[in-house]
Amino acid sequence: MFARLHALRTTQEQHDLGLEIVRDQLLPWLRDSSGFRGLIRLWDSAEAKTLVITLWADEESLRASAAAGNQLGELTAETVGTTRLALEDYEVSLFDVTAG
Amino acid sequence: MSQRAEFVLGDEFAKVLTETTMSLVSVLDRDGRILLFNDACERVTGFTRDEVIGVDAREFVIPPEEAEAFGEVLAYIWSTGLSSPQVGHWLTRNGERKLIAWSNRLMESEDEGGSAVLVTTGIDLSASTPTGVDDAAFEGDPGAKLAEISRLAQEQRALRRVATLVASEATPERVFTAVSEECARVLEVNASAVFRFEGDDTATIVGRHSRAGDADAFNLGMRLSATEDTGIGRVLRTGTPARIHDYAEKPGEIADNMRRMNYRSSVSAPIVVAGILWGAVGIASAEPLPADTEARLGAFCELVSLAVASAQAREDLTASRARLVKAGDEQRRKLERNLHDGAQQRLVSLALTIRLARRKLDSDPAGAASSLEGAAKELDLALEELRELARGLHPAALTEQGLGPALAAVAKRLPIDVDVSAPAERLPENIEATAYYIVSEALTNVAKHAHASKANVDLTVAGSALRFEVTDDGRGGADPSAGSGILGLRDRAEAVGGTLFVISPPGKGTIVTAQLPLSDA
Repeated sequence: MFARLHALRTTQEQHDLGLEIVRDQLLPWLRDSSGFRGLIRLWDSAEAKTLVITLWADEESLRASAAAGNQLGELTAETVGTTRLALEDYEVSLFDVTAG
Repeated sequence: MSQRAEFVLGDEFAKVLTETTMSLVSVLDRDGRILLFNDACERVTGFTRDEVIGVDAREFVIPPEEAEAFGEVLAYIWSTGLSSPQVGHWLTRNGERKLIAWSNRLMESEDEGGSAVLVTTGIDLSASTPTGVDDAAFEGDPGAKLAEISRLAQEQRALRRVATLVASEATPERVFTAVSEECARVLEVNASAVFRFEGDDTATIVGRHSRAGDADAFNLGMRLSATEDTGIGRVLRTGTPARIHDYAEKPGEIADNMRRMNYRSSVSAPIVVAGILWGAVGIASAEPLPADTEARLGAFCELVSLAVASAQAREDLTASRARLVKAGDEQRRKLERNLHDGAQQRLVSLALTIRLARRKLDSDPAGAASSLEGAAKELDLALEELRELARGLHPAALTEQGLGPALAAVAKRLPIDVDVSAPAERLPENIEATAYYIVSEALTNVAKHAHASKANVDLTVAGSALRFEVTDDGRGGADPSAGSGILGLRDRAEAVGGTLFVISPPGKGTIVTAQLPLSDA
């Protein structure tokens, strides 16, 4: 499995707006993308930092989604009024999640 | 020692030979009209040359069910310039069908103003079938009569078993295996096989009977080279039964396997389906086979051809249905991907851009205007992509204006010159849609693969059918058996009761020709 990490500097308000955009507009589209395996959104209020991790079945689907990920990620950051700190790709070396 | 010059074959000699030979000799023009019909042709058919000269062979001697195949053979020969040995039937004046093995060659003719004519020579195979043997059963000594009648009864039982199997809609493999078993039984040999010719000098074993069991060297599905040194290879080249007396010195895989199985000789006979040489049955024996084996196997094969045709037709239909379903699934998947990665992504982006513009409205009106401008462009692109997808599903031009304008629009979008000629009249909806799909797909293939500079599309209504042809000046060499492109086009034509053929000699462009019935539409 592979992962794409978006890191953003966000205030509380920006975080909430971003969460709404991801949940209502990006996620429904992402779910139909080839090889999409999930999304995790993390927020550190003390550091005012949001991390969004999208998971992809293989390197090919990660690569195929790169252009859209970059364009929509940047547009989302601009819409919530923040800037992106990082956009990085990773290979998942361990994944052990218990649902619920 | 005196030397004599070789006899010169002049026009007079050709004339004498044509009129005295026992072989059938006829000459046809490009449209299949008979220009020459020799004495042997008159004797075999009962028609006089006065009746047939200048008339399309399909109106007299070619049976209606083989007329289309005959047309295809003519088209192939005229477009490629190559000979195409065939086996097919001729109708006689009294309605009998004679099985004829043909060879043919194009020749330039001064009588025809220097244009080419097709010279064909044939042998009446029916003359050597057991018709004569049947008569013999009623002459001679009682023992021979009994043996002959018993043999004919055995053949009838064998045919009945095959026919029953076909009627029960058994799988083609079972039918072919049954044909193989019955051939072995009727000809009293231990091994036989049904071969299907694959169009490339190879043949596949589709039915097999052998008493060797697991030790058999010939197995179902084996694809073998039908070289001239093999019985099936000779059948492929001549369209007539063939015998190999002894495989001892013969080269090749078939000969190796024959020796391994201790078979010494073989006889093979053609299976002709709808006028086309479909395959062959081969029987093998450790002992020399009797002198009349070719005639007996040939006659039996002629009788089982119908069973083979039915089984093959069912197999083709099943395969065609599966391909159509698969093609439909693939189209839907492709459509879903195109929508997701194209228009949907643009609309998501558009929604975000509009939110961005709203956010900037008070603090940065110029930025908001710029975002809205971007959103409008994104919307135009999304609309264009949706229009393109809709056109791919069923173009509005086809529904509203018909085939000509719809195909002209397709031609306009291609990077090569395309001339389109289509009837102005409207045709049944599904025929228009099928023709549109086939022609657009064929033109897309030309643009993508043919290295062509121009293509021509010609659609005409002829009687109760829509006929059309897509030709190009590209590199040719398209292989109907490779990939699903050409098969997919044929499936579409056959799904509405039509036919489609592709002629694509290397270096001479490609012709896709199809006919769709209007009456059953």
